[in-house]
Amino acid sequence: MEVIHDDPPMPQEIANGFYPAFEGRWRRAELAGRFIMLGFVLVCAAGLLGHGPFSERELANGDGSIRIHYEPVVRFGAPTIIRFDTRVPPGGDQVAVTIAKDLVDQFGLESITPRPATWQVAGGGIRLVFPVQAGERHALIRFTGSPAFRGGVNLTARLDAGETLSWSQYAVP
Amino acid sequence: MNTVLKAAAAYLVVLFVIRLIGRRTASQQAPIDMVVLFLFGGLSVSAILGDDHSFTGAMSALFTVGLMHVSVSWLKLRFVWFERIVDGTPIVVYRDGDWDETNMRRLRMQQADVRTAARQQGLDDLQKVAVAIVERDGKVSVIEKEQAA
Repeated sequence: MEVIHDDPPMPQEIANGFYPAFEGRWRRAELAGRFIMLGFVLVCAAGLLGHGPFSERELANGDGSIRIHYEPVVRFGAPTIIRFDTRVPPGGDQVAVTIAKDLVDQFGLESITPRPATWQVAGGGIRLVFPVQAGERHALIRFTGSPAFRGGVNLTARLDAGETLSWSQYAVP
Repeated sequence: MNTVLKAAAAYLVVLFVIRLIGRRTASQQAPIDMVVLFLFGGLSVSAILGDDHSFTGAMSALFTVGLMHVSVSWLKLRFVWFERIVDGTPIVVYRDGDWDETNMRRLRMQQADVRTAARQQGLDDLQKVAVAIVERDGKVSVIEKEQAA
C-alpha cells in the first residue's frame, strides 16, 4: 500500500496556494451539506417528523363515534399520545373501545388515562371498558406510548356498535 | 437499530457535520468552538445508547467508535481523495501583506486569529510574515519572511 504520495515540494505547494481546485469543490459540497442540515432542522422544528406544531392530525370514523388526535409521524422510543374522543351510548354508563393489539405491542403502550375498568381479549384486539358518569355524552381517553417499531404500522379502534376507525403511524429512527 | 450500527452511524455523522461546519470547530480556538464539541459528544451518547444502560451496550459502542476511527485512518492513508474529503487541505489566508478575504470568509477566520498565531511565534508585526496558512486542523501556521526566503 502506497503511503508516501507524489506531493509537490513544500515551497511549491505554498506558492500554488495548496489545492484551490479541491477546496472550491469542497466549498460547494459544504454549502449543499449546510442547506440539507438547515432543511432537516426546519422540518423537525415544524414537527413534520414528530413533536412539533404541525405534527398532530385529527381523524374520525364514518359514523363519528370515535375521533382521534394523533401524530402520523412519531419517533422510535420517544413518547407520543393518542387522544380519543368517543361518543357515549345514550343513557349508558360505560364506553367499550376495542383497539388493535398493535396499539399495545408496537405502539409501546405505557399508560391509559383514565384507567379502564376491564381489559378483555376480543377478536384479535383488546376490548377496554371505561366507566362513565351518567349524563356524559363524550369520553376523552388518552393513550401514551413509546413506539417500539420503525416504519409504518396500521392501527384500529372501534366502539362496540360503531364503525372501525383505521389510521397509520410511521416511526422514524 | 442496534447499538453497534448506531455508534457507527453517529461516528460518520459527527465526522461529516464537523467537516461541514468548518475547521474552526476542530481547532477549538474560542469558547464557541468548544461548546459545539461538548454538545456533540453529549447528544451522540444519548442517541447511541438510548435507554440501554448496560455495560455491554456501552462497551460495544466504545469499541465500534474505536474501530471506525482506525478504519477511517486507514482509508485516509490509502486514498488521497478520501483524506482530502475527511481532513481538508491547508488554505492560505495571508501572503506578502495581502489578505485573502474570500478564504477568510469561507473559513470564518478573523485577522485576530492570524495575529494571535504570529504573536505565539514571537512575531510582533505582520510585516515580518510571509505567509499565514490555516492548516487542516484549523490552526494557523505563520511563516516568517526570512524563513520563506
